[in-house]
Amino acid sequence: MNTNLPSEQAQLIIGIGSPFGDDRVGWEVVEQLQRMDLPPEIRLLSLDRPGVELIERMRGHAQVTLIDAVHSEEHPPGTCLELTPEQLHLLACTSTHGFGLADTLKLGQSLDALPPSLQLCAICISPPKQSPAAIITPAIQTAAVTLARQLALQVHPSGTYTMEPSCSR
Amino acid sequence: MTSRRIRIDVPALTRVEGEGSLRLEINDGQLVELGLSIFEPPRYFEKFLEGREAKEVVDIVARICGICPVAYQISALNALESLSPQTASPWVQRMRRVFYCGEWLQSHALHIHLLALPDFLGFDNAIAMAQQHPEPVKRGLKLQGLGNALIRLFGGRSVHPVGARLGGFHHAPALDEVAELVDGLKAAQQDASDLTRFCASLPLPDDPQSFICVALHHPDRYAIESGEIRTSTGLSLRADQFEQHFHETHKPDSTALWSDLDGQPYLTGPLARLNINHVQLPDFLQTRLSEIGLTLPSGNMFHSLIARALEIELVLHETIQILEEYEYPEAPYTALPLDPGTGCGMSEAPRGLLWHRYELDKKGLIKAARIVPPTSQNQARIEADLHRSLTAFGLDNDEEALRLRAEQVIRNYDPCISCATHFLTLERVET
Repeated sequence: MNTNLPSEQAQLIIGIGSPFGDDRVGWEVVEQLQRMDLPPEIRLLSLDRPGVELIERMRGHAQVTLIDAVHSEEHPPGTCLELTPEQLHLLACTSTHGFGLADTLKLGQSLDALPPSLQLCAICISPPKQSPAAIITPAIQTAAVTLARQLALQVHPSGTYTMEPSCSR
Repeated sequence: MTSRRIRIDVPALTRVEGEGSLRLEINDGQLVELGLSIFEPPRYFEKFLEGREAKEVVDIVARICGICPVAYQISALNALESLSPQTASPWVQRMRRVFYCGEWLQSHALHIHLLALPDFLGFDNAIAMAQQHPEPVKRGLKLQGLGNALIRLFGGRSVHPVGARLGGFHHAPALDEVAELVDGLKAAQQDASDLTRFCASLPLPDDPQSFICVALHHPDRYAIESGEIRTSTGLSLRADQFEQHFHETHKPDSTALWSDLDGQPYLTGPLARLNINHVQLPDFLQTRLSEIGLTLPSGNMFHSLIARALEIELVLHETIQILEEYEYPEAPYTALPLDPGTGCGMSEAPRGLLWHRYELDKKGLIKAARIVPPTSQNQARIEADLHRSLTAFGLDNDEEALRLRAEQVIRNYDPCISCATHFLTLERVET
Protein backbone atom coordinates (compact mmCIF):
# COMPACT_ATOMS: atom_id res chain seq x y z
CA MET A 1 0.00 0.00 0.00
CA ASN A 2 1.36 3.40 -0.97
CA THR A 3 0.38 5.76 1.83
CA ASN A 4 2.14 8.74 0.25
CA LEU A 5 -0.32 8.99 -2.62
CA PRO A 6 -2.89 11.79 -2.23
CA SER A 7 -6.24 10.38 -1.05
CA GLU A 8 -8.16 11.81 -3.96
CA GLN A 9 -6.01 9.77 -6.37
CA ALA A 10 -6.35 6.57 -4.39
CA GLN A 11 -9.11 3.99 -4.52
CA LEU A 12 -10.14 2.71 -1.14
CA ILE A 13 -11.55 -0.78 -0.50
CA ILE A 14 -12.96 -1.28 3.00
CA GLY A 15 -14.05 -4.56 4.55
CA ILE A 16 -16.58 -4.02 7.34
CA GLY A 17 -17.69 -6.36 10.11
CA SER A 18 -16.65 -8.03 13.30
CA PRO A 19 -13.48 -10.15 13.17
CA PHE A 20 -15.40 -13.37 13.88
CA GLY A 21 -17.54 -15.89 12.04
CA ASP A 22 -19.23 -15.10 8.76
CA ASP A 23 -19.57 -11.44 9.74
CA ARG A 24 -15.84 -11.19 9.02
CA VAL A 25 -16.37 -11.79 5.31
CA GLY A 26 -15.47 -8.15 4.50
CA TRP A 27 -12.19 -8.60 6.34
CA GLU A 28 -11.60 -11.86 4.48
CA VAL A 29 -11.98 -10.14 1.10
CA VAL A 30 -9.48 -7.48 2.16
CA GLU A 31 -7.03 -10.14 3.36
CA GLN A 32 -7.34 -11.91 0.01
CA LEU A 33 -6.64 -8.64 -1.80
CA GLN A 34 -3.64 -7.97 0.43
CA ARG A 35 -2.09 -11.18 -0.90
CA MET A 36 -2.44 -9.98 -4.50
CA ASP A 37 0.00 -7.67 -6.21
CA LEU A 38 -2.34 -4.72 -6.60
CA PRO A 39 -1.29 -1.29 -7.89
CA PRO A 40 -0.15 1.18 -5.19
CA GLU A 41 -3.14 3.46 -5.69
CA ILE A 42 -5.38 0.77 -4.18
CA ARG A 43 -5.73 1.21 -0.44
CA LEU A 44 -7.11 -1.60 1.68
CA LEU A 45 -8.71 -1.32 5.09
CA SER A 46 -10.63 -3.56 7.51
CA LEU A 47 -12.93 -1.89 10.02
CA ASP A 48 -14.67 -3.49 12.98
CA ARG A 49 -18.17 -1.96 12.94
CA PRO A 50 -17.02 1.64 12.46
CA GLY A 51 -20.44 3.28 12.79
CA VAL A 52 -20.49 6.88 11.64
CA GLU A 53 -16.70 7.04 11.68
CA LEU A 54 -16.89 5.38 8.27
CA ILE A 55 -17.78 8.78 6.82
CA GLU A 56 -14.52 10.24 8.12
CA ARG A 57 -12.54 7.23 6.93
CA MET A 58 -13.91 7.61 3.37
CA ARG A 59 -13.41 11.38 3.28
CA GLY A 60 -11.16 12.64 0.51
CA HIS A 61 -11.28 9.47 -1.59
CA ALA A 62 -12.80 9.70 -5.05
CA GLN A 63 -13.60 5.98 -5.27
CA VAL A 64 -14.57 3.75 -2.38
CA THR A 65 -15.72 0.12 -2.34
CA LEU A 66 -17.40 -1.19 0.81
CA ILE A 67 -17.78 -4.89 1.54
CA ASP A 68 -20.11 -6.06 4.29
CA ALA A 69 -22.15 -9.09 5.28
CA VAL A 70 -25.94 -8.97 5.11
CA HIS A 71 -28.70 -11.28 6.21
CA SER A 72 -31.14 -11.95 3.40
CA GLU A 73 -33.95 -14.48 3.25
CA GLU A 74 -34.21 -14.04 -0.51
CA HIS A 75 -30.69 -15.18 -1.36
CA PRO A 76 -28.68 -18.25 -0.34
CA PRO A 77 -25.60 -17.75 1.84
CA GLY A 78 -22.58 -16.80 -0.21
CA THR A 79 -24.54 -14.77 -2.76
CA CYS A 80 -22.76 -11.56 -3.61
CA LEU A 81 -24.92 -8.53 -4.31
CA GLU A 82 -23.95 -5.12 -5.56
CA LEU A 83 -26.34 -2.70 -3.91
CA THR A 84 -27.20 0.94 -3.78
CA PRO A 85 -27.42 2.54 -0.30
CA GLU A 86 -31.19 2.61 -0.72
CA GLN A 87 -31.30 -1.13 -1.39
CA LEU A 88 -29.07 -1.78 1.60
CA HIS A 89 -31.58 -0.05 3.83
CA LEU A 90 -34.18 -2.66 2.85
CA LEU A 91 -31.99 -5.52 4.05
CA ALA A 92 -31.28 -6.50 7.64
CA CYS A 93 -27.58 -5.85 7.81
CA THR A 94 -25.43 -7.55 10.43
CA SER A 95 -23.77 -4.26 11.27
CA THR A 96 -26.68 -2.95 13.30
CA HIS A 97 -24.34 -1.62 15.95
CA GLY A 98 -25.71 1.71 17.00
CA PHE A 99 -25.40 3.47 13.67
CA GLY A 100 -25.28 0.60 11.18
CA LEU A 101 -23.95 0.84 7.65
CA ALA A 102 -27.30 1.74 6.09
CA ASP A 103 -27.89 4.57 8.57
CA THR A 104 -24.31 5.74 8.22
CA LEU A 105 -24.64 5.98 4.43
CA LYS A 106 -27.94 7.83 4.80
CA LEU A 107 -26.23 10.27 7.15
CA GLY A 108 -23.39 10.63 4.67
CA GLN A 109 -25.90 11.41 1.93
CA SER A 110 -27.60 14.02 4.12
CA LEU A 111 -24.23 15.66 4.67
CA ASP A 112 -23.23 15.36 1.02
CA ALA A 113 -20.15 13.64 2.38
CA LEU A 114 -20.09 10.39 0.43
CA PRO A 115 -17.35 9.78 -2.14
CA PRO A 116 -18.25 10.59 -5.77
CA SER A 117 -17.98 6.91 -6.65
CA LEU A 118 -19.23 4.48 -4.02
CA GLN A 119 -19.56 0.77 -4.68
CA LEU A 120 -21.33 -1.39 -2.14
CA CYS A 121 -20.76 -5.15 -2.20
CA ALA A 122 -22.83 -7.29 0.16
CA ILE A 123 -22.30 -10.99 0.76
CA CYS A 124 -25.33 -12.82 2.12
CA ILE A 125 -24.78 -14.84 5.29
CA SER A 126 -27.08 -16.88 7.53
CA PRO A 127 -28.05 -15.40 10.88
CA PRO A 128 -26.17 -17.26 13.63
CA LYS A 129 -28.54 -19.73 15.32
CA GLN A 130 -27.05 -19.21 18.78
CA SER A 131 -23.73 -17.54 19.39
CA PRO A 132 -21.65 -16.51 16.37
CA ALA A 133 -19.07 -19.03 15.24
CA ALA A 134 -15.43 -18.06 15.67
CA ILE A 135 -14.43 -19.00 12.12
CA ILE A 136 -15.85 -18.29 8.70
CA THR A 137 -17.90 -21.07 7.05
CA PRO A 138 -16.64 -22.63 3.76
CA ALA A 139 -19.41 -21.19 1.55
CA ILE A 140 -18.73 -17.66 2.77
CA GLN A 141 -14.98 -18.15 2.46
CA THR A 142 -15.47 -19.17 -1.18
CA ALA A 143 -17.62 -16.11 -1.79
CA ALA A 144 -14.90 -13.92 -0.28
CA VAL A 145 -12.25 -15.38 -2.61
CA THR A 146 -14.53 -14.89 -5.60
CA LEU A 147 -15.29 -11.29 -4.76
CA ALA A 148 -11.63 -10.53 -4.07
CA ARG A 149 -10.63 -11.77 -7.52
CA GLN A 150 -13.46 -9.83 -9.13
CA LEU A 151 -12.44 -6.62 -7.37
CA ALA A 152 -8.80 -7.19 -8.26
CA LEU A 153 -9.71 -7.45 -11.95
CA GLN A 154 -11.92 -4.40 -11.64
CA VAL A 155 -9.13 -2.21 -10.27
CA HIS A 156 -6.35 -3.84 -12.29
CA PRO A 157 -7.83 -5.36 -15.48
CA SER A 158 -4.43 -6.45 -16.81
CA GLY A 159 -3.81 -8.57 -13.72
CA THR A 160 -3.71 -12.34 -13.92
CA TYR A 161 -6.39 -13.17 -11.38
CA THR A 162 -8.65 -16.13 -12.11
CA MET A 163 -12.13 -14.90 -13.03
CA GLU A 164 -15.06 -16.36 -11.15
CA PRO A 165 -18.82 -15.71 -11.47
CA SER A 166 -19.49 -12.05 -10.79
CA CYS A 167 -21.67 -10.21 -8.32
CA SER A 168 -25.33 -9.89 -9.25
CA ARG A 169 -26.68 -6.39 -9.52
CA MET B 1 -61.99 8.75 37.31
CA THR B 2 -59.78 8.03 34.36
CA SER B 3 -56.59 6.12 34.92
CA ARG B 4 -54.04 6.39 32.18
CA ARG B 5 -51.35 3.77 31.95
CA ILE B 6 -48.49 4.53 29.63
CA ARG B 7 -45.93 1.90 28.83
CA ILE B 8 -42.69 2.86 27.18
CA ASP B 9 -40.46 0.03 25.92
CA VAL B 10 -36.92 0.06 24.67
CA PRO B 11 -36.37 -2.56 21.98
CA ALA B 12 -33.36 -4.86 22.32
CA LEU B 13 -30.13 -3.49 21.00
CA THR B 14 -27.29 -5.91 20.45
CA ARG B 15 -23.65 -6.01 21.49
CA VAL B 16 -23.23 -2.72 23.21
CA GLU B 17 -26.23 -0.95 24.36
CA GLY B 18 -28.34 -3.43 26.27
CA GLU B 19 -32.03 -2.90 26.64
CA GLY B 20 -34.35 -1.02 28.90
CA SER B 21 -37.92 -0.10 29.52
CA LEU B 22 -39.85 2.57 31.28
CA ARG B 23 -43.28 2.11 32.82
CA LEU B 24 -45.35 5.14 33.66
CA GLU B 25 -48.74 5.07 35.30
CA ILE B 26 -50.68 8.24 35.79
CA ASN B 27 -53.89 8.27 37.81
CA ASP B 28 -55.97 11.39 38.13
CA GLY B 29 -53.03 13.57 37.18
CA GLN B 30 -50.67 11.89 39.66
CA LEU B 31 -47.61 9.82 38.81
CA VAL B 32 -48.35 6.65 40.76
CA GLU B 33 -45.83 4.32 39.18
CA LEU B 34 -42.55 4.91 37.43
CA GLY B 35 -40.29 1.96 36.79
CA LEU B 36 -37.03 2.16 34.89
CA SER B 37 -35.30 -1.05 33.93
CA ILE B 38 -31.96 -1.26 32.19
CA PHE B 39 -30.33 -4.51 31.25
CA GLU B 40 -26.61 -4.62 31.91
CA PRO B 41 -24.41 -6.99 29.90
CA PRO B 42 -21.29 -6.63 32.12
CA ARG B 43 -22.79 -9.04 34.68
CA TYR B 44 -21.95 -11.97 32.42
CA PHE B 45 -18.40 -10.82 32.01
CA GLU B 46 -17.77 -11.11 35.73
CA LYS B 47 -18.30 -14.86 35.43
CA PHE B 48 -16.41 -15.09 32.13
CA LEU B 49 -13.36 -13.67 33.90
CA GLU B 50 -13.22 -16.33 36.60
CA GLY B 51 -10.37 -18.76 36.05
CA ARG B 52 -8.67 -16.51 33.50
CA GLU B 53 -5.09 -15.33 33.81
CA ALA B 54 -4.68 -11.75 35.02
CA LYS B 55 -3.04 -10.77 31.73
CA GLU B 56 -6.18 -11.78 29.80
CA VAL B 57 -8.51 -9.46 31.69
CA VAL B 58 -7.61 -6.30 29.80
CA ASP B 59 -8.61 -7.81 26.44
CA ILE B 60 -11.77 -9.46 27.75
CA VAL B 61 -13.18 -6.35 29.44
CA ALA B 62 -12.52 -4.32 26.27
CA ARG B 63 -15.38 -6.34 24.78
CA ILE B 64 -17.93 -5.16 27.35
CA CYS B 65 -18.66 -1.88 25.59
CA GLY B 66 -18.07 -0.74 22.03
CA ILE B 67 -18.23 2.92 23.04
CA CYS B 68 -16.06 2.97 26.16
CA PRO B 69 -13.66 -0.02 25.99
CA VAL B 70 -10.72 2.11 27.19
CA ALA B 71 -12.54 2.86 30.43
CA TYR B 72 -13.02 -0.85 31.11
CA GLN B 73 -9.39 -1.54 30.28
CA ILE B 74 -7.96 1.21 32.48
CA SER B 75 -10.20 0.43 35.47
CA ALA B 76 -9.17 -3.23 35.20
CA LEU B 77 -5.49 -2.31 34.94
CA ASN B 78 -5.77 0.03 37.93
CA ALA B 79 -7.34 -2.77 39.96
CA LEU B 80 -4.88 -5.49 38.95
CA GLU B 81 -1.79 -3.31 39.13
CA SER B 82 -2.73 -2.33 42.69
CA LEU B 83 -1.61 -5.90 43.49
CA SER B 84 1.93 -5.16 42.34
CA PRO B 85 4.70 -3.72 44.49
CA GLN B 86 5.82 -1.77 41.41
CA THR B 87 4.03 0.83 39.33
CA ALA B 88 3.81 1.55 35.63
CA SER B 89 6.35 4.06 34.31
CA PRO B 90 5.60 7.80 34.16
CA TRP B 91 5.52 7.48 30.34
CA VAL B 92 2.84 4.80 30.57
CA GLN B 93 0.81 6.86 33.02
CA ARG B 94 0.89 9.89 30.72
CA MET B 95 0.01 7.85 27.64
CA ARG B 96 -2.86 6.11 29.43
CA ARG B 97 -4.31 9.56 30.06
CA VAL B 98 -4.01 10.39 26.37
CA PHE B 99 -5.55 7.03 25.41
CA TYR B 100 -8.44 7.79 27.75
CA CYS B 101 -8.80 11.36 26.46
CA GLY B 102 -9.38 9.83 23.01
CA GLU B 103 -12.30 7.87 24.38
CA TRP B 104 -13.86 10.91 26.07
CA LEU B 105 -13.47 12.84 22.82
CA GLN B 106 -15.12 10.22 20.61
CA SER B 107 -17.86 9.31 23.09
CA HIS B 108 -18.81 12.88 24.00
CA ALA B 109 -18.76 14.01 20.35
CA LEU B 110 -21.00 11.09 19.39
CA HIS B 111 -23.42 11.77 22.21
CA ILE B 112 -23.74 15.50 21.71
CA HIS B 113 -24.06 15.53 17.94
CA LEU B 114 -25.83 12.33 17.01
CA LEU B 115 -27.81 11.36 20.10
CA ALA B 116 -28.69 14.47 22.13
CA LEU B 117 -28.73 17.30 19.61
CA PRO B 118 -31.81 16.13 17.65
CA ASP B 119 -33.78 16.47 20.93
CA PHE B 120 -32.90 20.13 21.23
CA LEU B 121 -33.21 21.04 17.56
CA GLY B 122 -36.55 19.28 17.12
CA PHE B 123 -35.69 16.27 14.98
CA ASP B 124 -36.43 12.59 15.30
CA ASN B 125 -32.88 11.56 14.54
CA ALA B 126 -29.48 12.76 13.38
CA ILE B 127 -30.09 11.85 9.74
CA ALA B 128 -33.10 14.15 9.53
CA MET B 129 -31.24 16.83 11.50
CA ALA B 130 -28.19 16.63 9.21
CA GLN B 131 -30.19 17.77 6.20
CA GLN B 132 -30.94 21.13 7.81
CA HIS B 133 -27.97 21.41 10.15
CA PRO B 134 -25.07 19.75 8.33
CA GLU B 135 -22.29 21.82 9.87
CA PRO B 136 -22.78 20.76 13.52
CA VAL B 137 -22.98 17.12 12.43
CA LYS B 138 -19.82 17.43 10.33
CA ARG B 139 -18.08 19.01 13.32
CA GLY B 140 -19.23 16.10 15.48
CA LEU B 141 -17.93 13.53 13.03
CA LYS B 142 -14.60 15.32 12.82
CA LEU B 143 -14.18 15.41 16.61
CA GLN B 144 -15.31 11.82 16.98
CA GLY B 145 -12.87 10.77 14.26
CA LEU B 146 -10.00 12.45 16.12
CA GLY B 147 -10.97 10.65 19.31
CA ASN B 148 -10.98 7.35 17.48
CA ALA B 149 -7.61 8.17 15.93
CA LEU B 150 -6.18 8.71 19.42
CA ILE B 151 -7.56 5.36 20.57
CA ARG B 152 -6.08 3.68 17.49
CA LEU B 153 -2.71 5.33 18.15
CA PHE B 154 -2.32 3.28 21.33
CA GLY B 155 -4.97 0.59 20.96
CA GLY B 156 -4.36 -0.51 17.38
CA ARG B 157 -8.05 -0.07 16.59
CA SER B 158 -10.79 2.15 17.96
CA VAL B 159 -13.43 -0.53 18.61
CA HIS B 160 -12.36 -3.04 21.27
CA PRO B 161 -8.72 -1.86 21.19
CA VAL B 162 -5.97 -4.40 21.80
CA GLY B 163 -2.91 -2.25 22.54
CA ALA B 164 -3.14 -1.99 26.33
CA ARG B 165 -1.55 -4.54 28.65
CA LEU B 166 -0.51 -4.96 32.26
CA GLY B 167 2.29 -2.46 32.90
CA GLY B 168 1.67 -0.33 29.80
CA PHE B 169 1.17 -0.89 26.09
CA HIS B 170 2.27 -3.55 23.62
CA HIS B 171 3.48 -0.88 21.25
CA ALA B 172 4.64 2.74 21.39
CA PRO B 173 3.50 5.07 18.60
CA ALA B 174 6.16 6.44 16.25
CA LEU B 175 7.13 10.09 16.57
CA ASP B 176 5.78 11.04 13.13
CA GLU B 177 2.39 9.40 13.85
CA VAL B 178 2.12 11.43 17.03
CA ALA B 179 3.17 14.68 15.37
CA GLU B 180 0.60 14.25 12.59
CA LEU B 181 -2.17 13.66 15.09
CA VAL B 182 -1.18 16.66 17.21
CA ASP B 183 -1.61 18.85 14.12
CA GLY B 184 -5.15 17.53 13.70
CA LEU B 185 -5.95 18.05 17.38
CA LYS B 186 -4.74 21.65 17.27
CA ALA B 187 -6.86 22.31 14.21
CA ALA B 188 -9.93 21.04 16.10
CA GLN B 189 -9.58 23.35 19.08
CA GLN B 190 -11.59 26.09 17.39
CA ASP B 191 -14.32 23.53 16.58
CA ALA B 192 -14.39 22.52 20.24
CA SER B 193 -14.74 26.06 21.56
CA ASP B 194 -17.47 26.72 18.96
CA LEU B 195 -19.19 23.57 20.21
CA THR B 196 -19.25 24.76 23.81
CA ARG B 197 -20.74 28.11 22.79
CA PHE B 198 -23.24 26.31 20.56
CA CYS B 199 -24.35 23.97 23.37
CA ALA B 200 -24.67 26.88 25.78
CA SER B 201 -26.89 28.70 23.29
CA LEU B 202 -29.39 25.81 23.01
CA PRO B 203 -32.81 26.16 24.66
CA LEU B 204 -32.06 23.67 27.45
CA PRO B 205 -34.84 23.07 29.97
CA ASP B 206 -34.22 25.00 33.19
CA ASP B 207 -35.23 22.75 36.07
CA PRO B 208 -32.66 22.78 38.89
CA GLN B 209 -32.72 19.70 41.12
CA SER B 210 -30.94 18.65 44.26
CA PHE B 211 -28.80 15.52 43.93
CA ILE B 212 -25.61 13.95 45.23
CA CYS B 213 -22.60 14.12 42.90
CA VAL B 214 -19.93 11.42 42.84
CA ALA B 215 -16.70 11.72 40.85
CA LEU B 216 -13.04 10.87 41.02
CA HIS B 217 -10.75 13.64 42.18
CA HIS B 218 -7.02 13.85 41.61
CA PRO B 219 -4.91 16.38 43.51
CA ASP B 220 -2.88 17.40 40.43
CA ARG B 221 -5.28 17.28 37.51
CA TYR B 222 -8.91 16.89 36.38
CA ALA B 223 -9.46 13.23 37.19
CA ILE B 224 -9.86 10.91 34.23
CA GLU B 225 -7.75 7.78 34.43
CA SER B 226 -7.03 7.83 38.16
CA GLY B 227 -7.97 9.47 41.43
CA GLU B 228 -9.99 8.93 44.58
CA ILE B 229 -13.73 9.21 45.01
CA ARG B 230 -15.15 12.52 46.16
CA THR B 231 -18.81 13.07 46.88
CA SER B 232 -20.76 16.28 47.25
CA THR B 233 -21.71 14.99 50.70
CA GLY B 234 -18.08 15.31 51.78
CA LEU B 235 -16.80 11.74 51.47
CA SER B 236 -13.31 10.99 50.21
CA LEU B 237 -12.73 7.31 49.44
CA ARG B 238 -10.06 5.05 48.02
CA ALA B 239 -11.05 2.35 45.54
CA ASP B 240 -10.88 -0.32 48.25
CA GLN B 241 -13.40 1.65 50.37
CA PHE B 242 -16.03 1.77 47.61
CA GLU B 243 -18.06 -1.14 48.95
CA GLN B 244 -18.30 0.40 52.40
CA HIS B 245 -20.60 3.12 51.07
CA PHE B 246 -21.88 2.03 47.65
CA HIS B 247 -24.32 -0.85 47.52
CA GLU B 248 -26.07 -2.69 44.72
CA THR B 249 -29.50 -4.26 45.00
CA HIS B 250 -31.86 -6.17 42.76
CA LYS B 251 -35.21 -4.63 41.96
CA PRO B 252 -38.32 -6.40 40.69
CA ASP B 253 -38.75 -6.41 36.89
CA SER B 254 -35.10 -5.49 36.35
CA THR B 255 -32.14 -7.63 35.44
CA ALA B 256 -29.76 -4.82 36.32
CA LEU B 257 -28.41 -3.99 39.74
CA TRP B 258 -29.24 -0.60 41.19
CA SER B 259 -26.63 1.35 43.13
CA ASP B 260 -26.98 3.66 46.09
CA LEU B 261 -24.61 5.74 48.17
CA ASP B 262 -25.50 5.03 51.79
CA GLY B 263 -29.10 4.51 50.70
CA GLN B 264 -29.35 7.56 48.43
CA PRO B 265 -29.44 7.86 44.63
CA TYR B 266 -26.52 9.77 43.17
CA LEU B 267 -25.19 11.16 39.92
CA THR B 268 -21.99 10.09 38.23
CA GLY B 269 -20.81 11.43 34.87
CA PRO B 270 -19.79 14.72 33.24
CA LEU B 271 -21.91 17.10 35.30
CA ALA B 272 -20.92 15.40 38.57
CA ARG B 273 -17.26 15.63 37.53
CA LEU B 274 -17.57 19.27 36.59
CA ASN B 275 -19.42 20.13 39.79
CA ILE B 276 -16.72 18.51 41.92
CA ASN B 277 -13.58 19.33 39.92
CA HIS B 278 -14.35 22.58 38.06
CA VAL B 279 -11.73 24.58 39.97
CA GLN B 280 -9.10 22.39 38.28
CA LEU B 281 -10.12 23.42 34.77
CA PRO B 282 -7.36 25.34 32.99
CA ASP B 283 -7.58 29.13 32.79
CA PHE B 284 -9.01 29.23 29.26
CA LEU B 285 -11.93 27.06 30.38
CA GLN B 286 -12.51 29.19 33.48
CA THR B 287 -12.82 32.08 31.04
CA ARG B 288 -15.19 30.00 28.92
CA LEU B 289 -17.40 29.31 31.95
CA SER B 290 -17.69 33.07 32.53
CA GLU B 291 -18.29 33.72 28.84
CA ILE B 292 -21.21 31.27 28.63
CA GLY B 293 -22.52 32.22 32.07
CA LEU B 294 -22.38 28.74 33.58
CA THR B 295 -22.21 28.84 37.38
CA LEU B 296 -20.94 25.70 39.08
CA PRO B 297 -21.93 23.58 40.84
CA SER B 298 -25.07 23.29 38.74
CA GLY B 299 -28.27 21.43 39.66
CA ASN B 300 -29.64 21.56 36.10
CA MET B 301 -29.18 18.04 34.74
CA PHE B 302 -29.39 19.38 31.17
CA HIS B 303 -26.11 21.18 31.78
CA SER B 304 -24.60 17.72 31.25
CA LEU B 305 -24.58 18.59 27.55
CA ILE B 306 -22.44 21.68 28.19
CA ALA B 307 -20.27 19.65 30.59
CA ARG B 308 -19.49 17.20 27.77
CA ALA B 309 -18.58 20.05 25.45
CA LEU B 310 -16.28 21.58 28.07
CA GLU B 311 -14.67 18.18 28.64
CA ILE B 312 -14.04 17.90 24.89
CA GLU B 313 -12.16 21.20 25.06
CA LEU B 314 -10.29 19.94 28.10
CA VAL B 315 -9.15 16.64 26.60
CA LEU B 316 -8.01 18.31 23.38
CA HIS B 317 -5.93 20.74 25.44
CA GLU B 318 -4.53 17.99 27.69
CA THR B 319 -3.70 15.67 24.81
CA ILE B 320 -1.90 18.36 22.85
CA GLN B 321 0.12 19.33 25.93
CA ILE B 322 1.16 15.74 26.66
CA LEU B 323 1.85 14.69 23.07
CA GLU B 324 3.85 17.83 22.21
CA GLU B 325 6.44 16.50 24.67
CA TYR B 326 6.13 12.93 23.41
CA GLU B 327 9.30 10.88 23.45
CA TYR B 328 9.68 7.36 22.17
CA PRO B 329 10.18 5.20 25.28
CA GLU B 330 12.87 2.61 25.93
CA ALA B 331 10.05 0.16 26.60
CA PRO B 332 6.28 0.71 26.24
CA TYR B 333 5.57 -1.38 29.34
CA THR B 334 7.08 -2.59 32.59
CA ALA B 335 6.64 -6.23 33.54
CA LEU B 336 4.73 -5.94 36.82
CA PRO B 337 4.65 -8.95 39.16
CA LEU B 338 1.23 -9.32 40.79
CA ASP B 339 0.74 -10.63 44.32
CA PRO B 340 -2.28 -12.77 45.21
CA GLY B 341 -5.06 -10.86 46.90
CA THR B 342 -7.91 -8.48 46.16
CA GLY B 343 -7.28 -5.43 43.98
CA CYS B 344 -9.70 -2.55 43.44
CA GLY B 345 -9.40 0.10 40.77
CA MET B 346 -11.51 2.75 39.07
CA SER B 347 -11.54 5.49 36.48
CA GLU B 348 -13.93 8.02 34.96
CA ALA B 349 -15.61 6.49 31.93
CA PRO B 350 -17.27 9.05 29.62
CA ARG B 351 -20.55 8.19 31.41
CA GLY B 352 -19.07 8.25 34.91
CA LEU B 353 -17.39 6.22 37.62
CA LEU B 354 -16.39 2.69 36.61
CA TRP B 355 -15.22 0.53 39.51
CA HIS B 356 -13.60 -2.93 39.30
CA ARG B 357 -12.51 -5.48 41.90
CA TYR B 358 -10.55 -8.67 41.22
CA GLU B 359 -9.50 -11.50 43.49
CA LEU B 360 -6.30 -13.11 42.29
CA ASP B 361 -5.26 -16.55 43.56
CA LYS B 362 -1.76 -17.91 44.09
CA LYS B 363 -1.66 -19.32 40.55
CA GLY B 364 -2.29 -15.87 39.12
CA LEU B 365 -5.84 -16.73 38.08
CA ILE B 366 -8.93 -14.59 38.61
CA LYS B 367 -10.96 -16.09 41.43
CA ALA B 368 -13.73 -13.49 41.45
CA ALA B 369 -14.51 -10.27 39.62
CA ARG B 370 -16.91 -7.42 40.27
CA ILE B 371 -17.62 -4.60 37.86
CA VAL B 372 -19.88 -1.65 38.68
CA PRO B 373 -20.55 0.38 35.51
CA PRO B 374 -21.79 3.98 35.48
CA THR B 375 -25.13 3.33 33.80
CA SER B 376 -26.16 0.99 36.60
CA GLN B 377 -25.07 3.59 39.15
CA ASN B 378 -27.14 6.30 37.50
CA GLN B 379 -30.37 4.26 37.29
CA ALA B 380 -31.82 5.44 40.60
CA ARG B 381 -30.90 9.05 39.76
CA ILE B 382 -32.52 8.77 36.32
CA GLU B 383 -35.69 7.47 37.91
CA ALA B 384 -35.71 10.27 40.49
CA ASP B 385 -35.08 12.77 37.68
CA LEU B 386 -37.96 11.33 35.64
CA HIS B 387 -40.31 11.70 38.61
CA ARG B 388 -39.30 15.28 39.07
CA SER B 389 -38.97 16.32 35.42
CA LEU B 390 -42.20 14.75 34.17
CA THR B 391 -44.19 16.21 37.05
CA ALA B 392 -42.66 19.65 36.46
CA PHE B 393 -43.27 19.26 32.71
CA GLY B 394 -46.95 18.54 33.35
CA LEU B 395 -48.54 15.08 33.53
CA ASP B 396 -51.55 16.40 31.63
CA ASN B 397 -49.42 16.67 28.49
CA ASP B 398 -50.29 14.23 25.73
CA GLU B 399 -48.53 10.90 25.53
CA GLU B 400 -46.27 11.91 22.69
CA ALA B 401 -45.01 14.96 24.56
CA LEU B 402 -44.51 12.90 27.74
CA ARG B 403 -42.63 10.22 25.84
CA LEU B 404 -40.37 12.76 24.19
CA ARG B 405 -39.60 14.46 27.49
CA ALA B 406 -38.93 11.10 29.14
CA GLU B 407 -36.57 10.15 26.32
CA GLN B 408 -34.83 13.49 26.59
CA VAL B 409 -34.34 13.05 30.33
CA ILE B 410 -32.98 9.51 29.95
CA ARG B 411 -30.73 10.36 26.99
CA ASN B 412 -29.25 13.24 28.93
CA TYR B 413 -27.42 10.66 31.08
CA ASP B 414 -25.91 9.10 27.96
CA PRO B 415 -26.79 5.60 29.15
CA CYS B 416 -25.58 2.67 27.10
CA ILE B 417 -29.11 2.22 25.77
CA SER B 418 -29.06 5.68 24.26
CA CYS B 419 -27.11 4.50 21.21
CA ALA B 420 -30.48 4.37 19.49
CA THR B 421 -31.59 7.92 18.89
CA HIS B 422 -35.28 7.08 18.95
CA PHE B 423 -35.52 4.17 21.28
CA LEU B 424 -38.72 4.39 23.26
CA THR B 425 -42.05 3.06 22.06
CA LEU B 426 -45.20 3.97 23.88
CA GLU B 427 -48.33 2.02 24.55
CA ARG B 428 -51.33 3.65 26.18
CA VAL B 429 -53.90 1.74 28.18
CA GLU B 430 -57.03 3.50 29.43
CA THR B 431 -58.84 1.84 32.33
